[in-house]
Amino acid sequence: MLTIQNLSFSYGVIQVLDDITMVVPTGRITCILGRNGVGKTTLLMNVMGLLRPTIGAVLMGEHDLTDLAADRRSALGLGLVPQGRRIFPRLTVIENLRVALAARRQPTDRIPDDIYDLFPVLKTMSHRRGGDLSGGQQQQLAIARALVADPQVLLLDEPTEGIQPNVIQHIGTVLRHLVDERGLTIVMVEQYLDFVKEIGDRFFLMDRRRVVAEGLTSDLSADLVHRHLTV
Amino acid sequence: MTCARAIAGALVIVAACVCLERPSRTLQAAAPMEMRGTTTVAVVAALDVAPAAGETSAAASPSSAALPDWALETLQNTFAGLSAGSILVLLALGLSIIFGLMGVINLAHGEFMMVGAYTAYVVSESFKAYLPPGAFDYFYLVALPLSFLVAGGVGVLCEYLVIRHLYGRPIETLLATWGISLLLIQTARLIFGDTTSFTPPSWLQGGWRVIPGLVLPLNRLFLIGLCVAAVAAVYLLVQRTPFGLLLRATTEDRPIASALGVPTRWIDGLTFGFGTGLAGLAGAIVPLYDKLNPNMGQSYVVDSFMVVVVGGIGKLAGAVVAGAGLGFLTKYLEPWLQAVYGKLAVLALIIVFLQWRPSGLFPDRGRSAES
Ligand SMILES: Nc1ncnc2c1ncn2[C@@H]1O[C@H](COP(=O)(O)OP(=O)(O)O)[C@@H](O)[C@H]1O
Ligand SMILES: [Mg+2]
Repeated sequence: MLTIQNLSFSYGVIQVLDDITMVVPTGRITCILGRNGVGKTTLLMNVMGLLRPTIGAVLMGEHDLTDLAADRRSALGLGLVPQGRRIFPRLTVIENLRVALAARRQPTDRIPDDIYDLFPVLKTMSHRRGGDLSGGQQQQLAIARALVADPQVLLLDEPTEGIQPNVIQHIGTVLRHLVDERGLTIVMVEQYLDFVKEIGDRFFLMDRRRVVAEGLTSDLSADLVHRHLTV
Repeated sequence: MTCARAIAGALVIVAACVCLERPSRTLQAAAPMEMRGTTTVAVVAALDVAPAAGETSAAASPSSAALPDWALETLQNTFAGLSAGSILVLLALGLSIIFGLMGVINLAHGEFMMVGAYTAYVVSESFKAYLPPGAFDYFYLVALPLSFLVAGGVGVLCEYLVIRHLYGRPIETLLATWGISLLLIQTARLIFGDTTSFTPPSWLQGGWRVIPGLVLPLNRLFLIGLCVAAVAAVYLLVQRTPFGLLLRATTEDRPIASALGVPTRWIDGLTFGFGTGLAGLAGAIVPLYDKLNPNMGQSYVVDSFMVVVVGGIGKLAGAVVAGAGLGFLTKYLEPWLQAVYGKLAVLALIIVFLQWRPSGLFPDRGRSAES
C-alpha cells in the first residue's frame, strides 16, 4: 500500500502542495484529478523521489521512502511513466528498455517476453531511435520501459496526453490487464475524464494545493467536475 | 542558456590567462620540434625526441632522401600533428564525457594528467631502486595502467569529497576544480620539486626509418597507437557495455534514469574517475618526449578545452577530428604565424564563436538541466 502523509512542497517561496494525504489501495487504479497547474506532476515527482517534500512522508508497505533517492525507490518497486513520456531520444527502443535491466545488481540483457506481448509495436521498432517514434509509440515505450523494472506500484502522468484514440484504447486495456491479472497498483494523473471513468477505480480530486474530494470514479459527480475541473 | 554562456566565458578567460602566463610551455607541449626554428626534416626528427635522439639522427640524413624536401616536410608535419593531436584527443575525451554527463567543466583536468605523469615517474624510480637492471625496460608496462588507475582514483576521490556537493551550481564547481588543480600542483611541487624526467624504456627509443630521409620516432608512433586504442576502448565502453548504456541514459535524462533505478551518483563518480584516468594515461606518455614539472598540465589543458569546444560536447568523433585538426593546424601554421600569436588568434576566434552560438557548443544537458 502506498501512503502519502501530510505532504507539502514549495518551489522556492511558492507553495504548490499543502498537506496532501492520500492512501492508495493496492491492486487498483487510483486517479489524481485536477486542473492544469494544480500540482499533480509535482506530487508524483515527490512520490518518486525526484523532488523532496518540505514536510511530510511517503510510505510503501513497511518502507519509509521519504529519505531515499529515486533509484532506491525504483529498486523497492516504484515505477514512473513521466508526463511528456521523456523517452531517451538518442537511445534505440531496445536500449531504452534495457536501461532498467542494466541498472540491476546483476545486469541482464533479457527483456521479459510479455513486454512485447503487451506492446507488439515495440518489437518491430526495436532498433529505431526513441526520438524518431510517434507520440503513441513513445507512450507505449515509456510504459514498457517502466514495466521492465518490474514495479509493484506504477505512477503514470497523463498517459493519454496527445495520443490518438485507438492507442489510448490499447493503453487502457493494457493497464486494466496489469491491475486485474497481476495485481499491479496504479496511480494515474489524468485529465481525460472518460478515460478515468472507463478504467479508474478511485479518484483524488485536487484544487488550490489541496485534496478536496475522493471516492469511487463511478461516483464522480457533475457538481464536483463543475466546481474543480472545468475551466 | 545564460549559465552556459557564463561558463564558456570563464573558461575562455582562464584559458587566455594560462596561455599568456606560460606561452613557452604551451609551445613546447604542442610543438617541441619547430620551436627550434629549423626546417631541415632530418634535424627536426632528431630534435623531436631529445632524450632518445641518438639513433634517430644517425639514421636520417638529408643527402640520402628519396623524396623531395617539401614532401618529406609535409609527411613529417602530418605525423607530428597527428601525435600532438593524439594527446589532445585523450584529454578532450575525458573532459567531454565529464561535461556531457555532469555539466562540470573540469579545470583540474591537466593536473590529473600531471598525476599520471608523476605516477609513471615513481614507477620508473621504483624499478631502478628495487629491481634488477634487466627489469627496467618493463617498468613502462606497469606505469601505463597504474597512471590510469592513480589519476582515476584521485579523480573519484575529488568527485566524492568535493564536486558531488556542488552539482547544479556551475560557477562553484568551476572554482572548486580550479582549487583542486592548485592543490595538486602544490602537492606535486612539495614532493617532486621543480623539474624531473625519466629514461624511456629502450624499446621506445629511436625511430622507424620508413624511407630514406623520413624517420618516425618510436615514442610518437606509440603515442598515436595508444590514442587509437584508447578511443576504440572508450567507444566500446560507451556503446556496448551496460555501464555505457547507463552513462548515456543518465547523460540524456538524469531524473528519468534514476527513476528507472540507475544509481546516478555511482555513474557520476565512476565517469569522473574514468575521464581523469584517461588524462592520467595521457600524462604517462608525455615523459617519453618531454620533461616533467608540476605545471605541465596547464599547457595541454588549454588546447584540449579548445578541442572540446570545437568538437562538440560528448561527441567522440568530434573530439577525435578536432584534436587531430588542432594538431595539424598548429604544425602547419607555425612556420607562418609566430606560435604564441597563433594560439591567441585561435582563442579570439573561439570567443567570437561562443558569442555567436553558446548553446550550440554547450548543449543544455546533464546536471545543469536537473534543477
Ligand atoms: N520547476 C518549477 N519551478 C517553479 N515552479 C514550478 C516548477 N514546475 C512547476 N511549477 C509550478 O507549480 C505548479 C504546479 O505545477 P505542476 O505540478 O506541473 O501542475 P500539474 O501537473 O497539475 O499541471 C504550477 O503553478 C507550475 O507553474
Ligand atoms: Mg502535469
